[in-house]
Amino acid sequence: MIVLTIGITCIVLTGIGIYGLLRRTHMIRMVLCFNILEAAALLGLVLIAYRPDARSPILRAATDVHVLPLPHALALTAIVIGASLTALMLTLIVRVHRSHGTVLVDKLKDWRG
Amino acid sequence: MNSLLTELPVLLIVIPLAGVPLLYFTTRSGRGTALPALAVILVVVTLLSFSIRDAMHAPVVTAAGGWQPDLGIGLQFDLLAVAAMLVTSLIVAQAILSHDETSGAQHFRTLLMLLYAGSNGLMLTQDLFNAYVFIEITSIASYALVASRQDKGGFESAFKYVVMGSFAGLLVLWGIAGLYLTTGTLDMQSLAPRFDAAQGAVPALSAAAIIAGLLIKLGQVPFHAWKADSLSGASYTVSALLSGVTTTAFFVLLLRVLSALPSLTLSLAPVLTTIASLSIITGHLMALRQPRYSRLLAYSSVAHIGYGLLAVSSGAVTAIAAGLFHILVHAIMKSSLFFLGRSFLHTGNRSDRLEAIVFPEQYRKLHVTLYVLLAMSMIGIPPVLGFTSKWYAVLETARAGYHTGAVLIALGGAVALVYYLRVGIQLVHPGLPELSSPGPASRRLPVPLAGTALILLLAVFSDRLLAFCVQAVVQLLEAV
Repeated sequence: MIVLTIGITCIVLTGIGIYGLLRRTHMIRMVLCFNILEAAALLGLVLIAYRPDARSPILRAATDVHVLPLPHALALTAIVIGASLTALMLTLIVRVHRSHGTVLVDKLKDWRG
Repeated sequence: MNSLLTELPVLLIVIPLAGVPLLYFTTRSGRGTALPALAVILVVVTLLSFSIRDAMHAPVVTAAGGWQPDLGIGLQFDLLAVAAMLVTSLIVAQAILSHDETSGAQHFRTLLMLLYAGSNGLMLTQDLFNAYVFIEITSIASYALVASRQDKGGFESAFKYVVMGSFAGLLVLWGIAGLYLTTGTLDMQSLAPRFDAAQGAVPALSAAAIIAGLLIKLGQVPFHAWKADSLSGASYTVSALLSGVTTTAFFVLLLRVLSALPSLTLSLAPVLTTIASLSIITGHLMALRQPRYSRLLAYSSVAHIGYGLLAVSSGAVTAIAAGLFHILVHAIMKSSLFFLGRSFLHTGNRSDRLEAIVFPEQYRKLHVTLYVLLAMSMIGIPPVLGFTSKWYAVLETARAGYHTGAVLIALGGAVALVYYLRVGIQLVHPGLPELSSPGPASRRLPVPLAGTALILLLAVFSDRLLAFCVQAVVQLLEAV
């Protein structure tokens, strides 16, 4: 049940993220959509690690059943990368706002190439 | 020496990475010299050249931290890595020399070194998640480099680049998660049997997501437009880095992923061929109608990476080697063309519209000669290296049975002739009178002299270079 709930949440979040990234023109909202997409990926990683009735992967007794530790490590790394990317994106938005006076991508001259 | 050899792959990443804080602190006070950065590259190249012989014998595989690859991270130093890293080191060294300290770009060398460290890691790693980390290190450094021009266009291009690049990065992350879920491993060398044994559509979809992410990073159709937008917003030096270093690194990683999954590569071959063919056609046709120098070069890159991908997707060893060879040659010549663009700025002209570009008075003949040689190489006119690499690509693609692809590569040269000729005529006979207030005159020789000289000299040894690439590909395929 829990797997299904998290799985569906994951898919819904991915949908929202991709839709937003394609449709939104506000730069901050684009960053938020990117964060939602990333959260979906992280949720997916945690879901991969999940095992029913398992404990956190700290060895106490040899008979314990643990969740997979590797995806957790991957998720941790991905969180760090995501945070740096978000910081970089927000910095760029501040700079774009200073130079263009707008944060709407359709108002930027060259956006469509 | 032996213990140094086993630690070599780690050193090749750690040395440039250690250079990052070093350069940050030495250049923080304003002007720094280029020497520390050049020294780092010199150390890396020396290590590389001392270990080519060992890599020829067998790939050097290091288990980072003593954990064997299935549990830990494996780094593989093979001929593919040697060839690609020698090319990227040359380009990074040229970029350091080309960097203009008065441009206001802060921490340029620091970011450059981060890009170098990331791309080295990308070309050495055997572990998929480790590859993701290096993809992001390389990408974050390149996003910041695009913005380092500190003007309107730079920030806008950087934001566009960051959105597209992070989306591609997330696709790769999804793919890695899916592959781990179904195969239980992240090590590329032990992936193939477990991938083939895995049931359902998830493993194939996940691997496809990784490949798609890398193709977006390489700027292949239908995700090609961002490449021109980012390259035209960045400074010439940064554009040279993006089209030389990051492209080579991502292509090497793509080769590693494709060779790690032979069964999938076989079934994906028609898709890859279609993407490559469309990229060749789109790239050349779009380049034809670009009004600006950097956008023209960016679209030409889309087509040239298409050549490489087309040769690789045919699956024959010699064709893959020819594709790799062309990508490496393309990295040198395209970055040299971008470095050459920097000289336009010395006339005081900030625009790179084709009707406005003109070389400065000083060394004008030398500049024009360099342009002609590089353009000949890009188009594929003998006797330069670009001709031989393209010739091998056409020949080997045709031998592998992809006759349409071979014709496409050959025809691409004809279209390229038109747009490079257009730029050439403008450079020889500038239409506009020179500006009255020229920019800072440069007493230095043009930077791409090194790249162009290599393209001329190495043309003599092109059969040996191809043989080297064949050996690299054989090593890559045998390792799996």
